[in-house]
Amino acid sequence: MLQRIRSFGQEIGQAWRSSDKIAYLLVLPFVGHLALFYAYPALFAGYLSFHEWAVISPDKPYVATQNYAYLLTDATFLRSVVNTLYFLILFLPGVVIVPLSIAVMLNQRLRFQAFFRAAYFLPIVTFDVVVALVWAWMFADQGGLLNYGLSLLGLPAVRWLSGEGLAMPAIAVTTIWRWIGYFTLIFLAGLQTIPREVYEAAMIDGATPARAFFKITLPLLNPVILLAIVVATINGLQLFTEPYLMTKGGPNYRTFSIVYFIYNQGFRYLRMGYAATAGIALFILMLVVILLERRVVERRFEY
Amino acid sequence: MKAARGRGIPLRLPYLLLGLGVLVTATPYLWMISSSFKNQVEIFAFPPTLIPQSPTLENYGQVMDRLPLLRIAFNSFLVSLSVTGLAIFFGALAGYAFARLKFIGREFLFGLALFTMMFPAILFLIPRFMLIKQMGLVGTYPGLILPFVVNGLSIFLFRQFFALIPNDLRDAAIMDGCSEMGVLFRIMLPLSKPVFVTAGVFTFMDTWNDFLWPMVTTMGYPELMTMPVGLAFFSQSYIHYWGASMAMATLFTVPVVLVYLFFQRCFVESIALTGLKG
Repeated sequence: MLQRIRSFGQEIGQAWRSSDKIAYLLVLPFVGHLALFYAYPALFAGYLSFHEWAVISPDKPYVATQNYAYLLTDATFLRSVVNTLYFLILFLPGVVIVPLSIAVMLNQRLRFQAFFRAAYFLPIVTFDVVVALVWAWMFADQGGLLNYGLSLLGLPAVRWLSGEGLAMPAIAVTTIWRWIGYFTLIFLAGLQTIPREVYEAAMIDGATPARAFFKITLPLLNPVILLAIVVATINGLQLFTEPYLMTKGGPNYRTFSIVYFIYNQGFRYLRMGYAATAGIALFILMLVVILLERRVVERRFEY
Repeated sequence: MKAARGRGIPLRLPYLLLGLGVLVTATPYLWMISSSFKNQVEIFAFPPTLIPQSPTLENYGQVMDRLPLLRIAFNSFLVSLSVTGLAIFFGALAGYAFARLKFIGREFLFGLALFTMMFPAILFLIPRFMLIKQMGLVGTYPGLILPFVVNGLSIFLFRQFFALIPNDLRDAAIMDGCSEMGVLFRIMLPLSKPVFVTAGVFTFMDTWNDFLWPMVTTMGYPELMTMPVGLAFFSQSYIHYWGASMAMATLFTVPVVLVYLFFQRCFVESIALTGLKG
């Protein structure tokens, strides 16, 4: 045993002597930042979640797992989880299927290529807050553009954001609109890695374009699609800006998201312990959803 | 791809669909700009007008009266540029060490750097806020900047880039009496402009667009509002004054869009790269 420790010590010493000492200085900012803004907050969040941490009150009693128990029976929180997952179900197809179709079209030799690209990518550089406000105005009950569009078609006006049924779909449309360009770009980059010869060979073998798409493009693009789904999930589960500005989480909590719940608990009711607990729940949910998606996507296109 | 689709689908269909898509993309912008020039009566007119009948600048006047626009824009630039500059600098330092130098814990630390990329900032909202509060940085620029001055993606991009530069370059410089820091600052950094752009655009856009963190850290400090926070704040206090909100939205969108159109290639490459690798 002693022998082992000694030889291990020697190994470390050897490694230390032959290491470039300057490297420790170069990684110091990274390590310091990691400790301060990742490790410490992660540990502190865990600590907070076992305490009743009201900002205004001086004593922060230890409450064991009470926060977790409350959270799992808190109707508002459960509502926010259901809403967020519902949003994700609307959001994911919108930011995968639509951008993928646009990317496939843009990947052909088209005229006005540069114009189309410039136009589609515009929302990427537009503030989320601007997108939310402009769409809130487009969806407005009074004077909104979309209800005018419906009237042109001879349809009655609809309560987009003020009715319980359509509020979340309307928010999903807004968010999808904002992300379409981003995901188009990612798919386009992925499509450009597929060599043209593959398609030419398929054509010679008599494959139809549709067959080529499903048998060549989709499988080869599978890693990019999975990446897009994961990125979209991570972003979708963070839904906040749109409901905050467009509906205030209403009507009747129909657009109240998990992050909105965390924000409310932490910064409106100043219950930091409870808010941190909900943050941990969001992390776990994110992990579970992404693992599930990986499973589904990888199995579907396996060879 | 043309070979794959060109024959089966009539060539006009893509143009039609793409044109429709452009219309859907453009409409909110046109509606925003058009509304910003309408007065409080015309904005609710039915049917709505695309070109304002009696264009007015009163909405813009209202925005300028109520909000210190220059200060808000300055805050946004200061925060985004500081974060971007520091993230690139620290990313280059760590990336160089991970790519070129031997030291204990190298693989482990690099693994951690990649690991941090999987955690969106929102998960740390509460504990980071408490930390900033303990440090007395709520309502200060450092409070807005510090949590984001290192990011895993910049480290990763620099490491990948430095790993590709031939070793001879470094050896020759060291032979000539150049120090390790000299190699980094005189040879490696000047060579890595493409990474500067990629990592820089990514970091800048992320910080520039961020809403929740600047909102909670500047609550009660209106002089520190960034552009998204200022816009949200303004729209909340003028609900149903759509014209004024749209005027401010236009002010915050048009210049950015112009910059984007000018540097389009940088944006596109950055997103394509960071998207594919991240």
